[in-house]
Amino acid sequence: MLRWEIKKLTRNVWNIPIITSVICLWGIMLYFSTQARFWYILGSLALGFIILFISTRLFILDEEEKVSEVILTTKYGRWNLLFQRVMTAGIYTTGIVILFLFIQVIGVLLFNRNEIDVHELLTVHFLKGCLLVWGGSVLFSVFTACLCTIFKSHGVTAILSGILFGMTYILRGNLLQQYSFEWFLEKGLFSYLIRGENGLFEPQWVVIIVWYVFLMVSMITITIIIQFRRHEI
Amino acid sequence: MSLIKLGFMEGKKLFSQREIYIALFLCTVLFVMGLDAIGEPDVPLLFWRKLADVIPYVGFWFIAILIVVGVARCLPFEQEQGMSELLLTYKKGRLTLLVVKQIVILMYCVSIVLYFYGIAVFVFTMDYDLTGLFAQVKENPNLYFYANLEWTYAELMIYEFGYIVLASYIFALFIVLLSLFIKRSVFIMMIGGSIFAAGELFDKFIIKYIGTMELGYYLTTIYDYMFNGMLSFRYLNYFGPFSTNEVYGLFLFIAFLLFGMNLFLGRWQRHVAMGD
Amino acid sequence: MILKIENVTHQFKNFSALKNVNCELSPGIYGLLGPNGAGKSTLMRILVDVILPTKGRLFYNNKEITTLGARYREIVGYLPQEFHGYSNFTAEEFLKYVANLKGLDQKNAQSRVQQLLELVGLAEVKRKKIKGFSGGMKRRVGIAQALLNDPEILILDEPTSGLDPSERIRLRGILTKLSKNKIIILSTHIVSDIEYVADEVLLLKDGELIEKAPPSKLLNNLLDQVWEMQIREEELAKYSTSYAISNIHQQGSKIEIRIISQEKPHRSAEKVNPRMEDIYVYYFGSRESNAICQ
Repeated sequence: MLRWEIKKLTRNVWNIPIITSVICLWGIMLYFSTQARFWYILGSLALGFIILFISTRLFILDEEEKVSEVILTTKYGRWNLLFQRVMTAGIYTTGIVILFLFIQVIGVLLFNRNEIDVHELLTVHFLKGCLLVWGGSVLFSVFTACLCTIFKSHGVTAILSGILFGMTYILRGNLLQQYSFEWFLEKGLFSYLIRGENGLFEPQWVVIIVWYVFLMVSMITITIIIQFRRHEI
Repeated sequence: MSLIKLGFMEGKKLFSQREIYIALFLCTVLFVMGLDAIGEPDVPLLFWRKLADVIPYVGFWFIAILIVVGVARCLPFEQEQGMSELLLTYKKGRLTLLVVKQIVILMYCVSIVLYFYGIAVFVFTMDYDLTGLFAQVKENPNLYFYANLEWTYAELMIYEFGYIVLASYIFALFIVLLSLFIKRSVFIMMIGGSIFAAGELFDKFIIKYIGTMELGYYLTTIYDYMFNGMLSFRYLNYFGPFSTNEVYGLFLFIAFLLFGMNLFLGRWQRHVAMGD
Repeated sequence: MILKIENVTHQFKNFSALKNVNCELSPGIYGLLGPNGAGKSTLMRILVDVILPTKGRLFYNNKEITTLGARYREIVGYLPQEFHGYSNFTAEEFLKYVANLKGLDQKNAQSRVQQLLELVGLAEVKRKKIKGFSGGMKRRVGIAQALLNDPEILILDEPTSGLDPSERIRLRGILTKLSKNKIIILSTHIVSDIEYVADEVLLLKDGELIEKAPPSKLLNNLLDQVWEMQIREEELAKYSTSYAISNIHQQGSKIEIRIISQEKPHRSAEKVNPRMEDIYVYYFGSRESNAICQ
């Protein structure tokens, strides 16, 4: 079943143009810098964009292609399929993170002008930071999947997640009061995790973990409740 | 059906999109947060200076977001409802509809701009003294953009309102142009949004890496004179080549050009669809 | 094998789509007939457990279908009114995907998919993407996916819409062959399809099940009540207000009409054998033909 879901995702016609354009942009940027802080803006934005554009679509495809009722009447078309799709979104996101990481490592090895200690770069920024990047991306893809399932609209999901995710890059809350609304907006909406390195030195990491657990559990619970009400699981 | 009635129906279709209201809610919250972040002690005429600066400072992001969200579905609506081929068979059909839709989009742009000015007025009224509408700009001249210092704030606000309506309308017409080639609204939304976001990303981040290169200079010029520059008042740069009147003329020209181009392309697509 | 519908009611806000529907279905083909908005699709969606009824229950072999869950879905095949299929998949891929969801193992799925593609006449285009299919071809993919798990309960919502006459005849043949030990429910606006294949007809009007009987019995009820006659054009309005008209046919300067009436409407009227279309008009009225007359 997972194989089919991955096939559906990879059949998205936008896959190649989007990933190619992101890679091209990165390629240009890599030439100008060794990009120790690559995830900080470009990387995290590109990941968020791909998650919103491609992997979220898996959760709305049945509605768009008018097959949702057919799927709902199959033996494994409810709980099982939902679980498989979340897994697929996670696997796809992991694949994209690995691809981006690969490009970065290549960039560092090719273009590093000895300004940065390669060992430190690879261990601290890439390996440790990447765990956060990966975790944040997978959580974000699950979050958008839940939103898409709730609203049954790719547009609404893109707007809600896109604005909240994107705004953290513009309205910066670094100087704002701890635990304020702005603080949560800045740190609690996935981009903070996907940026990687900042999270490694986060003094309030316990609060951050509690917040993400709360956010994800609430989101998944709401999705399940709504799915139950609609008699979809 | 008369054009006014058709326009009314198209307006109803545009304004009944739930996506607009979701985006409006989020943008309002973030916009107010943005306004709060630039708070400072009151001095005479600060209200009007801040009001004049609010769109070039943060407001244009939200205007751009709402334009992308609202306009992206305007054209694909018929396609998504399975009506596009039907429209080709009507006497007035697609072309008249395209004219009406582009006029309705102008009304939409006016509404969005008014809405954000309204919010800003509401927020600033709580912190600053409202008096000074007819004071001259030169009495408190530190604006984000170039303006005639002999103008009163009333004149400045009228000019600025017209400027941002035209700039946002040009951006909206560009989204219409995109939607002539992309069938699904969500993709139009994401591509339109990405083009705008890429500009902002360049201005806020990428330029730091390539600012010293010749390429950086060219890209900055493109930024300044494309949609991001229009919406963020870069055309009224202190060292810009255009006077305030020339900017209006240029914007009107671009808007007419895009309006006509969309009609031409719409007509061409109609012929292609009908196999002419 | 019995599918029992017990006091099923479904309410959409202020609109009652189904009102207290009761019936028992045993193996055979059932034709669901009713005007637009009568509740046919709602009843079908309830029968396949896509929506829950506001009131009432459904039992399959005396077990409530909601408690059966996946075990019930295992024996159900469904074709909804609107069906497209994944546009970027080929017909074969789509069927394999659904087979997978229906729990068929890979080997079985492979042979079953080929068999069904042959059956619905899509074997030659099985590697073509669904986005390039015509409406009728998509419908046939829909029929094939409904048959994948060899369902005991097969529910088809307007399966013949978009099919050409030869495909309709082919589908009728398939359904007749399958009907042994299966409950097949189909709705269609092409009443002749029901006349040819249905063992029983369920008539739904304003959400209520008003009749459940074999077509022959319904036709017998109308014996001696269907008339054909020729009238002048100006007389049409008079007849359309007084009688149920099931057909109007212009013949030169005159009009031939088909009337359903217990009494002979005119001395020139000739008695004719009833058809399913007459039954439709008899039970549901003839809004369209009356509108034309007026």
